[in-house]
Amino acid sequence: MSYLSVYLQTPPPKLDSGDTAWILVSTALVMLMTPALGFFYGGLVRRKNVLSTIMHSFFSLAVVSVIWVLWGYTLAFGPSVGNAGIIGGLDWFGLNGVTGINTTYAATIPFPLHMMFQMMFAVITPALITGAFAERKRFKAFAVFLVLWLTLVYCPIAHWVWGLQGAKGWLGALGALDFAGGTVVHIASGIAALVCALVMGKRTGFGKEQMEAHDVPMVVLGAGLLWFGWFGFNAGSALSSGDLAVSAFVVTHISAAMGAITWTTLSWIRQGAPSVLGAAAGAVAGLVAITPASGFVNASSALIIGFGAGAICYFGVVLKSRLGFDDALDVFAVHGLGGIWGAIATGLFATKAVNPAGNDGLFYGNPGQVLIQLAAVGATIVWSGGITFIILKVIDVTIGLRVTEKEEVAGLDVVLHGEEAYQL
Amino acid sequence: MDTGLLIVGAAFFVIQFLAWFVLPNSKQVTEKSAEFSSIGDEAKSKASV
Repeated sequence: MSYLSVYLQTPPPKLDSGDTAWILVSTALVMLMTPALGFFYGGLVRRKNVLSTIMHSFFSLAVVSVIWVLWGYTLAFGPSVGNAGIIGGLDWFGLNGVTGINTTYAATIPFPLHMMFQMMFAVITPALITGAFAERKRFKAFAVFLVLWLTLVYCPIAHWVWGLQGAKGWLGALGALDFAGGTVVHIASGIAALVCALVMGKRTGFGKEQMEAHDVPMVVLGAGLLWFGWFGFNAGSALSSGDLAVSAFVVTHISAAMGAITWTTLSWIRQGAPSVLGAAAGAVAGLVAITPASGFVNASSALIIGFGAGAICYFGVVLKSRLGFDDALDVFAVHGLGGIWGAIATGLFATKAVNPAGNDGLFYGNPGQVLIQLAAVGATIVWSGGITFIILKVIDVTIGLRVTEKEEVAGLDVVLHGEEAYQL
Repeated sequence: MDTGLLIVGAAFFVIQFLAWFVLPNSKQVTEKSAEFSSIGDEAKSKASV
């Protein structure tokens, strides 16, 4: 068969207006999650630090967007250097060549839309980490950390799992399943958060004075908007508007609901009252855990995944309190442990009946998938933990990580930003 | 397998539903918990007045 006849028989890539509309909306939904995270974290800190905490998320939205256009997208999704599946090349630096349709990633939507959709994932991932160092990190240390972490941790891991151009990322080639970012987003950020908490040390007065959430309605507002945005995060990851997107939408909602119920019940049993903060945190835990599984599991499995997330993350918070490290807003317990549970659960509950392009998990006759998922978890923990530690040490030596004790007591809003959240 | 997973998932909900019948209606309020039950610093400053 001649090249000409192949050319004539192969239909050219065709834009689908329905798919494009859904991914446009999903991109906007995922974008909303970062300010929502700002509210979620902002409500959890003391009133003197609410602006500095919200600023972490908002500034991430701005800085990461620029990095993504310049070198982030090409490192994460660009043609794999040496076809090794380790890191993308600089072929698409400054979005050079990111036009038309890229059939490797999504055959029915514009290439720049894939870039934008993935940009929003990159934006929220380092913003998630900020909960671990809230109320004590210098702003310029945060700004530098943001650029380095995204470049050195997020982009490589995204390439390992989701890279397809030239060669599959090595974890993707291994068969690791991560539909919407369980390893890339949640384990990577959760482990980085743990390292941040350990390297930076405790907040002044930690364990001696109450550091309760200053605005619980703000936390619930943030959690509600996160839940809303998560439909774009997971269902949008189908990169089309068909059955798979709907399935991901359904299981995302079920897992969030079950996570909220379970954390609430556990807080009710252990503390004597159904915690409102617990309901919000439980919903987020359920959302985190279903993220890698959302394109591979059915509704029954989502009930179990949500239940597991609520229970595991709740006891993760309890354990943190006993161990005594100061992960200020429980990022490791919710995103680290929730992400690990979600990645393993994907290996347990995945079924080709939901997604023929995926694989079966342990309960559908393929126990090897669990081992592959564990390998992906381990690789992400090692890389994120190790590189985050190095980045923090370099910043500490050069510009310093923490504000002074006096500045910490005064509050970061006034000291770092010259503004106050409330004029009461 | 799908039916088995549905039964397990449903059981996780039903067990919690049954637990709600016996869980307390209201939290026991102690002097310490009242002091910190409201909004952070504001509650503490009121308590100290």
